[in-house]
Amino acid sequence: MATLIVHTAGLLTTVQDRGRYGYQRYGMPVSGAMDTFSLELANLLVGNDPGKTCLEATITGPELEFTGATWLAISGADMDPHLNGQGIPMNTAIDARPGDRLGFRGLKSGCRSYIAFAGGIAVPPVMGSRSTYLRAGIGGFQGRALMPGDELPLGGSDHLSPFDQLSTDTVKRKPRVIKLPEGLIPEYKHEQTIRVISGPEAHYFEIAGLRSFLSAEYTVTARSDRMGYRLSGEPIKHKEDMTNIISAGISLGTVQVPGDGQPIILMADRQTSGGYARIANVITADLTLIAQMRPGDMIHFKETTMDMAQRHYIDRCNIFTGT
Amino acid sequence: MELKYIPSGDSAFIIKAGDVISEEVNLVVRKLLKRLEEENLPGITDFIPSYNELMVCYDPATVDYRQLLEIFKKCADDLGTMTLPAAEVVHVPVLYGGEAGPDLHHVAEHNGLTEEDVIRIHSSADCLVYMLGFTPGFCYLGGMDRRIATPRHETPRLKIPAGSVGIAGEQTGIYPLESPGGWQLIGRTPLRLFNPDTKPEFLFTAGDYIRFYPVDRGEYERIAAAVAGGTYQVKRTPKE
Repeated sequence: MATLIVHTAGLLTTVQDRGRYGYQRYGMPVSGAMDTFSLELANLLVGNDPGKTCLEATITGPELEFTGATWLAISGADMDPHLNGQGIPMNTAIDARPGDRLGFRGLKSGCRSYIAFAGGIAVPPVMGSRSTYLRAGIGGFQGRALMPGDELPLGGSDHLSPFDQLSTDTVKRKPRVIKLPEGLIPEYKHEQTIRVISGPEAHYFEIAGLRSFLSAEYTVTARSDRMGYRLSGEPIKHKEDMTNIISAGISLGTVQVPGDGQPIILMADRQTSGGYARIANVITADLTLIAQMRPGDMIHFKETTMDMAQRHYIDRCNIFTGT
Repeated sequence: MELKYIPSGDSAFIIKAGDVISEEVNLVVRKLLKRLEEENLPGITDFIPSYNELMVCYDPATVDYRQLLEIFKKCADDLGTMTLPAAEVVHVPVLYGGEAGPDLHHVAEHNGLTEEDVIRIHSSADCLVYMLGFTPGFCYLGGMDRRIATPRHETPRLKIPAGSVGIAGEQTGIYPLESPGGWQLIGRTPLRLFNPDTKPEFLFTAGDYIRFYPVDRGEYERIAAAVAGGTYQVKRTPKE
């Protein structure tokens, strides 16, 4: 079976799928890809089910060597990928052969790249998912980020046609191009408008506070990680003594505001519960944009309705189911 | 009991059972969880019960939220006649004091008690597991005796071993994983609260009661070895 040898690991490269569901009642975070849209897209390109296991690379990419043949595709952040020194396109299935080396020259846009391989990555599932949860050291590859010298088993490449399997290095390599709908890949800008739905404790805030939230610009701080995006900007004023709530559930994209008035967007490795007032929720369709933002980038929040939010999400799902 | 239905984004709903921490409100949350699980609804991705809310996570591409709301309301009508299986008391051995509980002396002194008093009081109450959260397997417990309440350390410790039993204000709890924290540590349990390699993975579930009991060093080591070997049977008895 083909494996993946890690020569350099990049800043933070982890094994992720769509996350570990069903255990949040025990305090177990979901984890999974920060940008599930790009994960699904990369999988689609190599002929996988959309939820297969990928590598998530952050800001700087890894350098990897293949011991067997596979297809790979990279979606999300453009880190200028190359194979054996030759530039390769984003969002395209690429034929990799034994001994090929995949590297990245540097970040051009976004923050997180998703590298999919035909058949996925064959690490053992833990509690129904192959996602890495770093804080508890479980899932993924030995519960941790990749390190130089690691060797990861790739999934079976049973999807390859007999012709693909017979092909040798003398056969001209061709990227396998799937035509993606126009405008499918969002533009990763340093300033984004992010749509939100009013949250369960929106009434805990002064009108002026809500106005700040929906009109001021918020900067992504360096203290942002897979758990949450900590923003900084005009403080969002709570009503008096209405900062804390009885500890309660947090969903993906919940925006909570602690006493200092600086919002936090809860992401993949979020705690399952929290005690700060929940002012709003980022709509699922826009989480892909957040996950691609870096410290220093600016966010402007804009309110939308649940019906609009769900329509955007369902439209996106239909890309993968082909309806 | 009037329930409130509040959206939390485009793929989760909160069903709120009250605005206070109480066993009654929490019981409604747990009943609701059981009732909705029985429905086996398609499109539900997860449940997060807490003190006074049940968060229901769903996939809007699979199920329409208006339809879900109707089902929630229909199920809520059944809660009055519904009973939960008898609660269980989970017996948790604790090695109190010494290196395992470096703050036992401070807790005693703070409350004008002896260390023996603190151990006796701490191990004589049944503490309800209201919810789990914060880290995998961490229980939010009620029912600790106020006579041993002690504020947190002002400067948290950087490394607290898994299994440490502590007090923070009027709350007691167990650290499931090694982590930093500011709790007053009075002892340590040899039990594992979370083990991804066993079934079930978690020792406690919301609605259980925890009863701590003191063990000496020898007993602690024996239990720790049995836990590590996978042969330890945690003692569970029905709640009277």
